[in-house]
Amino acid sequence: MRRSLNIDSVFGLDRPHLFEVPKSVITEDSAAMVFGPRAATGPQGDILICIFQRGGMDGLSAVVPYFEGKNYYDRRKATSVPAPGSAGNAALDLNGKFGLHPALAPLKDFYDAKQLAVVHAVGSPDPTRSHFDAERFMELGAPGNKTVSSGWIGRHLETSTTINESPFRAVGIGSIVQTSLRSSVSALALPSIKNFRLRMRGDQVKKIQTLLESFYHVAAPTDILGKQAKLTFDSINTLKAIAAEEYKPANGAVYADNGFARSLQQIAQLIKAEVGLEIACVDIGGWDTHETQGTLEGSFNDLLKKMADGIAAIYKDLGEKTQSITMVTMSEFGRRADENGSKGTDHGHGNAMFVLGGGVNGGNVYADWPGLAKAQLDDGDLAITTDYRDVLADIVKNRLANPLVERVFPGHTIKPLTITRPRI
Amino acid sequence: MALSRRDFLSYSSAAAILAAWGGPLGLSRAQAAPLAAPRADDLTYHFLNRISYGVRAEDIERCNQMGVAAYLEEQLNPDSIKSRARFKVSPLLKADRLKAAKGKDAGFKARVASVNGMIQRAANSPAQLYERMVEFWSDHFNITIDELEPELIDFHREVIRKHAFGNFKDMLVGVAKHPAMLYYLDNYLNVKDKPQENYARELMELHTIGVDGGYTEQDVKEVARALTGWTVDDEQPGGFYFDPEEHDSESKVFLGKFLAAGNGISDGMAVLEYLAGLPQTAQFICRKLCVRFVSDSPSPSLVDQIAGVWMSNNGEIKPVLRALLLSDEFNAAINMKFRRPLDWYIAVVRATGIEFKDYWYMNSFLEKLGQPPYAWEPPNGYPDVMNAWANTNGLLERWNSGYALNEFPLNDKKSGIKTDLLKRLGKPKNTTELIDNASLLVFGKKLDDARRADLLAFITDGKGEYILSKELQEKKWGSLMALLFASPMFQMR
Repeated sequence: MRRSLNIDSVFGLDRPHLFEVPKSVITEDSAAMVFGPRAATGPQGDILICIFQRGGMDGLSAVVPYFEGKNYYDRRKATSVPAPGSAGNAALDLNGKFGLHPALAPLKDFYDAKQLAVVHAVGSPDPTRSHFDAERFMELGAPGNKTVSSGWIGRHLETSTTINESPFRAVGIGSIVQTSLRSSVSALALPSIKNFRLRMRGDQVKKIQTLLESFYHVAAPTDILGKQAKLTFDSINTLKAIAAEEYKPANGAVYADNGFARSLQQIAQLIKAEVGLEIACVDIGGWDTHETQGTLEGSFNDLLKKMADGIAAIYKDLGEKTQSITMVTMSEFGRRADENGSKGTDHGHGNAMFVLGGGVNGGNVYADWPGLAKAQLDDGDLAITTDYRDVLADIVKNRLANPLVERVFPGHTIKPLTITRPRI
Repeated sequence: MALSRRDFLSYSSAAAILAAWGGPLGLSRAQAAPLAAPRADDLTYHFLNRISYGVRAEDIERCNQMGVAAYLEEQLNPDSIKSRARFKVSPLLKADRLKAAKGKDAGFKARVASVNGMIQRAANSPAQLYERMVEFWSDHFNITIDELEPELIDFHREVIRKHAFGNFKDMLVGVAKHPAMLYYLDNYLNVKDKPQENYARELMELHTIGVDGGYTEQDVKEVARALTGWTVDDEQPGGFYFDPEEHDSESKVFLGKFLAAGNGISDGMAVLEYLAGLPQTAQFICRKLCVRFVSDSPSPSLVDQIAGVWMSNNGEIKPVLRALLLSDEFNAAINMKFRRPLDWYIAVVRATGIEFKDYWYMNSFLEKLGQPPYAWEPPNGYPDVMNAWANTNGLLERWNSGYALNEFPLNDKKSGIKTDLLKRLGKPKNTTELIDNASLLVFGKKLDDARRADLLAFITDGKGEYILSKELQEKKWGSLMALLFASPMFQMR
């Protein structure tokens, strides 16, 4: 843990995008991409959609422990959500103890349909409250360890027995690949389906492509550069075909006009085009709510709504396909139990995660609840009683059909959970 | 073993590219015309290309005049050539870390100054080999800039730039005592009751003897104990403070070496000096130098030879570089290194003279390309081999970035972009001269006939005109340059 600085003041609030994309850059070794022809085959397990909420979501306002009474409401004057039934607009009851923030109403349907599981008091055990360290540790799947350099999803791909040589096997939506995707399996950074092309003057694109194909011997590549160039053009052509058709979401799903929804729509397009997608990572930023977080309205409410609407849109859009899809959300840390003097919340520890999909034991809140009384807090924050790696390991083993979870999370003794069902 | 197959592929890759691009140097009709750029023979060009971020006409002229050996000596004594610099870096780079940390948006300003400074120096400094070594050591002693912007300014000036051509042991001690590294790898938290092993581990694994250097987990613990109490105190000059209260004063044993009880700060100094002098350290770092300057898989005999020079010169860096850059294996490694994204970008800048005034414009290119300076998070530094970088998105971004850079208006207020490219192209009089001069500017040589014909067809839309109309020149020079920067040969150096 480095000396803690207020990141917002360091970069100025006009650069919030710092938390929207990870700082990670590339895979360390793309040797796996070099050999052999690629056959676009699907995954043996579910397709995983991994959503990272950058900045630290306030889990205590997203999944409200209203049964804590004074322990919760006394700490939260400006940022609490009323208990179910106590006001016209209040938390949506889940199990008599916890309620969803009303902005998450679209997710409540999935909870009731037993496809959504909520995990609480969950997170990464490393005590760091630095965004950068906490995000990195979470994505590497190795809290506190700075020598692990591949990401947890990357190691899943490396240890998975699936034969899938599609360039779309692992896709990070964004201009750089998420840290969790780093490994010897090359992941594709895809800022947008429409923009993965030669971005050149219309009258020159074709000529330049022809020349580059000739320069790189794409017709019969004999070296690394040639093979990579061929893959690049193949990907461009595949995406061009996808982008050419005007996309019509199925089942009346509507994607809102924002970056997160657009990202999810593109993931849906890739899934439906059956290009061999196994893993998609997408980020949603803006959770670093130090000031005027709001409660039933305001920035936090709007963010939750954006997230829930986006998730509901893709889930609806994919229809029957969701039987073989798992979605999971995570954020680098939760926020302090006590709100601060600026009607916001500062960096904390324990948080909530959502797991959604056809193979999820939904309609449950998984929480070994540590409590919010002073003595029950961890340094003023919600304590962590479930290691986020156990949640992910449950998904990797059951839904991604990869038994080698110990290699995905090195140095961690996995505690078995039952959030998902094994694939049949 | 996978490595040997990869090695084979990278060699064959270089060979294929050379076959396609490295046309004969014989005279042809177009060559009879006077050319803008001076020429270097293949070996000289290779030497200049490797020790720099891209060859400029003035480098060729000077090297032709002096000869390679004398030119190398000049490069190894950068004080004598720095006066030729024609650019100014931000005055903030002279500030100490506390001063750099003061004021509104200090972190952001320090970041801009650092990144701009890195690019300006790499692109424009006549002391190119020195700047290449500064980059090498910045990777070797990687520190991510996030949250440490002011510290990094100080770290680069007082440690990396100070010792880049000096003695390794001095640099290692400077690194160990600098607040930037003390914060980055947490040794500032390393206290006797709760030792913190992050730095101790990386000190051996990444900074000195390497992961195969023969240390155990127990050695990591012992080294961490020896470095307890090494922390930061802003009251101290430079910021380093040895806190005797927090130092574990019991005896330690690491790598079989005994450190007696009660020696305080000398424990840590003994560890650093011992590690700096070990032959494993010479092997580990000299191999990295060979990978940086020669090829992704240097021969063990070259590494042994260079490590021998390191050992007999007690880790002095100049004799090591001299031996390395004048070796036969270096000379035989023409075009065998894949340009990292930053190499690629700066080589474009050096060829075209493009300058950005707006930091965000430039930084967005570097982020898309995948190598924004000082942004690598793990302590091992940006990777240095082709397999880490030659992937689909990376290639596509090079093709698109090269095009975007060269499609800008020559002087654009919005992006703050400026270039004197047309002057560099030597005011070509006809279409073949445009192609030849552009090739000389970018590759130091003309292309083979087939490639020239391809490019001629491209810029004349298949008409093959000889006359270079003003309209054709204005419309086509940008995409011609973009094609050269997108070509496989330009990805290698």
